[in-house]
Amino acid sequence: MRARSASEGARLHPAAIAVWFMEEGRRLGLGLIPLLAIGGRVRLLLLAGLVVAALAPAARWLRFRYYTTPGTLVVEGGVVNRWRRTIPAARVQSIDIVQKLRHRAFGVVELRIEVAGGSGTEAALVALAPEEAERVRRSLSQEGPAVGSEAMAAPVLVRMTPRDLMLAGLTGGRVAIIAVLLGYLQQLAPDDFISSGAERLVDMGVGGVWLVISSITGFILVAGAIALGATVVTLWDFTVERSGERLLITRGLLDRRRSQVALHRLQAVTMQENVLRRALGLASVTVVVAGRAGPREEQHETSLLLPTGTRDTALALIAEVLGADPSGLAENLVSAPRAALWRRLAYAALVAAAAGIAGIVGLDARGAAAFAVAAPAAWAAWAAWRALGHRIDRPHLVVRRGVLVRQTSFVALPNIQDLRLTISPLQRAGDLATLVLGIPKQRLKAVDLERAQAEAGFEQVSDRLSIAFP
Amino acid sequence: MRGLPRHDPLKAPAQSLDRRVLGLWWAASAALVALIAIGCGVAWFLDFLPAPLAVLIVLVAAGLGGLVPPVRYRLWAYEIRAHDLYTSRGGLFVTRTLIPFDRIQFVETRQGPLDRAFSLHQLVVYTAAGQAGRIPGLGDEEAGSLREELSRVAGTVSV
Repeated sequence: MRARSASEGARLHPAAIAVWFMEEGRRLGLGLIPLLAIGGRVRLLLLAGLVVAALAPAARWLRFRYYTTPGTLVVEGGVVNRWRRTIPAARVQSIDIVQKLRHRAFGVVELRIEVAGGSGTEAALVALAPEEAERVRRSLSQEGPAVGSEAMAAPVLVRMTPRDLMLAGLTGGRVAIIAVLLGYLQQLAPDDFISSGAERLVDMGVGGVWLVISSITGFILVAGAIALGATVVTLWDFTVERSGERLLITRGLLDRRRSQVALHRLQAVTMQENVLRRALGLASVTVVVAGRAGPREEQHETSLLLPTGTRDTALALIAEVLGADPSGLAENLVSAPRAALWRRLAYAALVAAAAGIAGIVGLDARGAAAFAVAAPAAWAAWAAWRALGHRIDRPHLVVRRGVLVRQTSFVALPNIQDLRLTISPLQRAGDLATLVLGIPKQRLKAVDLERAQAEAGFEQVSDRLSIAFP
Repeated sequence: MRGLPRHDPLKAPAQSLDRRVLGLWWAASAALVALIAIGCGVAWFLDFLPAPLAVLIVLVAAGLGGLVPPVRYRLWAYEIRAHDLYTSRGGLFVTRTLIPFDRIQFVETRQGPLDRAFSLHQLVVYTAAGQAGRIPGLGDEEAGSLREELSRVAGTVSV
């Protein structure tokens, strides 16, 4: 195919000027507007700056072109330094169609293309008519043009109702942590701690008590409401569809987003159960996709596959995206040997001893009460031990751990990049070892396997790795 | 064989490091011991530490600094096998690393100031999961040939 000249490429929708202006202008211009009040020559200079800030996106739009060929997307632009980037469809990790409020105002969408290894989004077509975005997406996905109803071809795997989202918000992340911590505090604090504190407050009068109680309650309620509202708004109408060998994930009320990830680009799938959700039999599912860039929070959201659902729903979804047998997917994991419990109890004893000694040295004999830390520490040790589990002889390796958030990760053999076996001194004493599976962006740890088992596993997985790609 | 409950301990890799790395590690230990000695000297001077204790700390540090490198050297091993690079290190904290050739993204050799003084190289292997393995203390030729060899087989299934 002959090289095309720039003029053959298409321009973005003119709304791109406004979108860029709003994105850049927020940083450059809007902060300066209050300075206009200063007056004099400063005002003139600032006005000139604003005009330039408005003209720059226009110039950028004039220069920006893109076109698709079978198998590639070519983007070029640059006002002072011209650049041209070719993105092979085969290297695309994910395609996102984003519609923020500023896009909605003009009825356009933004198309973001992520490629593994780069830093940041590799190509952002900031303003396209929705049909054009769909055409580019199809071209990069190497799909034919749409025939008939698309919904028929895409079975829906997940659809969250507003009620589901409320549940997700109430049991997820911050809200759950606040609730759990409050519960713990109530159990941990000795009775006289609260009553003696209350006595002091009573001296301040009844008003003081009400002030403290109502302000704490108010704070928690507001924090909870904000967390809940944020969850519902960002995840509004959360839907996962399967279209052939791809997942389409749609979500958002104000900022709408539609992400597309090829199934074989999923590096690992993790089922997360925090304390609250585990008690309710709920779980959420996240995936690891290589090459995703962006702010931490956004990254977390884009890796979400199921905000919340019953454990069975979560496992069925995981089985679907892994192409695995759903029955017994997370069952019959090999639990950690008893020595692993002893190792954790040893640490708990150390913590309790340190706390007790610090209490005696810092206070007096009454400080010995700090030895009581032993009880929750021992419980935490036991819970951490119970959470451990692994299975490395299946097509998908399974690793489970975590007390507050129990994480069960599933990874397919071809996604494992390297393998490690580590033995610490305390592990040696208990004949234990840890197996570390390297996958892009993460290292999954199967902690405290029986040493002989870990060593056999190390060899087995290494043998399987070398025949995974014929 | 897979069903057998007992399993022989993992075979250690065959190749050991260049002997000169011992000198490098001793030099690094000596620098650390010197720092500790200076710290103890200052503490003694400021009456924070009685003289016998200060001397004892320095002697223990010197003893460890002298003894650890040979042990570390004996426990460091690497091997290029049929399908992968296999390394093993450490006695107290054991780490065995396995990197299949077809997962290697790229290989580089590095030289810090101390490495240069002893004309040694470090070899670092990257996979898509990031830095996957590092072999210190390789001679000029060994490091160069290893880098070439691993770069050649990177992305292939076997040697």
